[in-house]
Amino acid sequence: MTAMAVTASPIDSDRYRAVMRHLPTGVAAICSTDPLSGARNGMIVGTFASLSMDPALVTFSVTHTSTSWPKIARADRFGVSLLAEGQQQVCRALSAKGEDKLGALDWSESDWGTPRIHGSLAWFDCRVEQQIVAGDHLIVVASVLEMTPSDGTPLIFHGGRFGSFRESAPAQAA
Amino acid sequence: MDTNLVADIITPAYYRQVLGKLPTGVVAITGVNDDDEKLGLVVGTFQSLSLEPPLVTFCVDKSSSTWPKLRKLQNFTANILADDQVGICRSLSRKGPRKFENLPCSLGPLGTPHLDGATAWIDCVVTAEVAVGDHYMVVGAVTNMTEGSGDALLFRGGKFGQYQPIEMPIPEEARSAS
Repeated sequence: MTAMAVTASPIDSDRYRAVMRHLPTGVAAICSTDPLSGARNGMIVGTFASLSMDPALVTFSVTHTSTSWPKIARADRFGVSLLAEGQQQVCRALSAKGEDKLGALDWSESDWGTPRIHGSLAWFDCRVEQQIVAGDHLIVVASVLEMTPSDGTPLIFHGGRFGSFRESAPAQAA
Repeated sequence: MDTNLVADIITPAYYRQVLGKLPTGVVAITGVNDDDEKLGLVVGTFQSLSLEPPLVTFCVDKSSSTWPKLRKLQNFTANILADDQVGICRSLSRKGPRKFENLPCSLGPLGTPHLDGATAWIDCVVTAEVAVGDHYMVVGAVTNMTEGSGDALLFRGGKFGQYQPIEMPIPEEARSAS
């Protein structure tokens, strides 16, 4: 019954991107320290999301061609830094190619041994629990070992651009 | 076991407090039941997932009373809400059968409601559903995508808001990161 509609409207990647641009997302840096070499690896995701409160789980997805994620996942723990407005340079640093992506950034190691990027809105120390293949991406499900809030306004990716959050008028935001 | 220890430290209230830092879009998941009754729930976890094949995902609390009804027909529309649609969130968050009263909508190609004024409508067939912790993770295969107009609604720290552009050039490598 619905199969006709399904085959009649193939969705190419340009169309998918054009429509999904309407969805605003937060921006998160996923980082870890390689257990053997001690090198710091990192990547940026726009799909970090809450998942479960009990047990505490979070999720994000990565393209299966990512070269950064397999390096990050070598460590059994990784850190998530939720980026604030004004941290676009963190996106630039972690999206660039290279061995020492955190070299030019201010960061320190958490009690769990994961890199925390300074100036972020919140930090999560996580452990991978499940990786689920879904199309051309992997869904990563991670347990939260510790989470630490900070202050600031979030960095938002929307319509192919970076921006920030402006609160609606109080009358609307009840 | 380690997991039990973690559950003791991170209470649901603390989880909510810290995850409240994360800005999200606001998406109404709409569908119909066997009796053609319109159903809807609002999520802040809707995400893009895969380009080839086109897939999207969202999470819904296991305690949701709407999702078990909505999933029966396996079809849904993700309506990305606009910044003037806070009222729709309130309507759809109500209990009972009157959620769609005064909510103008049309039916999409899968027979699921398209809410008037949304910034995009993404029609999906449920292709996978995984129970993870206290939520279901739903993966939808996209059959149709339509763009609307208007600016997206944002939710953050318990408050609704809007996207505020930052006037700064963005290098190509950062733009492709998301």
